[in-house]
Amino acid sequence: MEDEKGYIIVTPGTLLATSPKTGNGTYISENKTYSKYLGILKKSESHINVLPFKYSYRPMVGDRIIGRIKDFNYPFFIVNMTSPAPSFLYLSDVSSRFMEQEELMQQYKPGTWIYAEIAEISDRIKLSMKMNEAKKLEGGRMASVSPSKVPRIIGKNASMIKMIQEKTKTHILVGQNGVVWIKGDNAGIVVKVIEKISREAHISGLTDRISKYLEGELKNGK
Amino acid sequence: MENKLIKDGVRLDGRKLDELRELKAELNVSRSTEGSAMFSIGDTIAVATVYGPMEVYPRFLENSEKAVLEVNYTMLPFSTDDRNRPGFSRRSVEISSVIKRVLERAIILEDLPKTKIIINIDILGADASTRCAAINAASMALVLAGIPMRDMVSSCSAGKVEDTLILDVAGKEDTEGDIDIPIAYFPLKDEILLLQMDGIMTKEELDKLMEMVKGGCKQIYDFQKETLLNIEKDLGDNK
Repeated sequence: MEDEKGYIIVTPGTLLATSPKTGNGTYISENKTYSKYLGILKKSESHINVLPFKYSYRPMVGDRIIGRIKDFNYPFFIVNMTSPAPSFLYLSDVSSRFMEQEELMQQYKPGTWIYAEIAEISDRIKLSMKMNEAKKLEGGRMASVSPSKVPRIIGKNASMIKMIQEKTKTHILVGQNGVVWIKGDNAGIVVKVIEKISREAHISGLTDRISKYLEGELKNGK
Repeated sequence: MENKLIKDGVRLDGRKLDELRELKAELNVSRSTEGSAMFSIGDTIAVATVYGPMEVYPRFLENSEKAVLEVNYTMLPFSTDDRNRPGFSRRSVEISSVIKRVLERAIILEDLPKTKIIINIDILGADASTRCAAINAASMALVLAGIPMRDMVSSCSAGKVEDTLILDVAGKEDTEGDIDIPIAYFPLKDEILLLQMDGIMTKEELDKLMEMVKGGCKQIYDFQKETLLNIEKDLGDNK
């Protein structure tokens, strides 16, 4: 619980405030606020948040995710996106233009990775691939991180991911569910970098450190 | 009576009456699970691994309001002096269900509806109070798996040997003692989640014993917390 490093780690059940306060990763009991997770404490005047080191992905409408087609069961594809519940991609939502079922089944065989958006959460999670960025992911390499680290990989105004892409000349897609797709010759280095980010996400000056690390790795590679 | 278990307030293994055995813990011992922890108190070693939250199979067990827990407690064949037959026994089923009820109180189940969490606990070494070590290991593994918890549970045992009250029963004290009480405890809210007892004792003795065992639980709680706060060292092993 040192403050000198610029952050405080809390365990579940730590008393955070003696008044009920709103925030993520906390719960209120008998008008007091406690932590729910093992994570880093972020306090502001009105909010108290605990950013967990690790949590399982919980789907939200509008999230863009990377998933893998598990099966076809008319009229939808079942997609595995590493969350507790499977999601469903209906035939009518696969493409904005009309496609025959035969053609779709040819293109989206089980095992295909896709980049899609969560369109609706009712009794089941429905995906859509009607947005412009949606696509079938061919080739490349996959990496996975905890969903709590996704904002760090993207960085402020996408600064981190832009920097990595420029330096390694790769193409990177990050799903909100923590699955990362990397295409390019230096994919191995990017996987290492992503692991480093997820390890050191809570220590300040991340972008500079990653930038130095990347340069070192690129030199070694050549 | 040469082989006395307690001599001048010192026990067979040289401990004081209200002293715990040596505590050790290791985080993220298994890579393929969401969270795992090893907890040992003296020669009793428990390893807990947590899988999930995941889909519920069979489907009829699914609860649309909260998560479902599955706890499997097993004593491995080499954990005791005589070989232990592997697989489930009456005893392991009872302890699994007791631990499940304790953890159901600690986890915020309402946060994870329609899911299932599997907690496997293996006892690598058994030297009394295995269910306490199991609960301690499981609660640490759950915290590491990022499952929302009200508080960490700590658990500890106490007993009565030769008319003396002692904390953390071990070895001969367990087999030859009169009373053995394991408890699981929420230090934050001063709440007792588990209390089992065999033997006969007076109410005054029980009150005294409860004070003692709560103190022991608080020591274990502080130890658990300290280990988890030093997680940064272990973050390298765990994505």
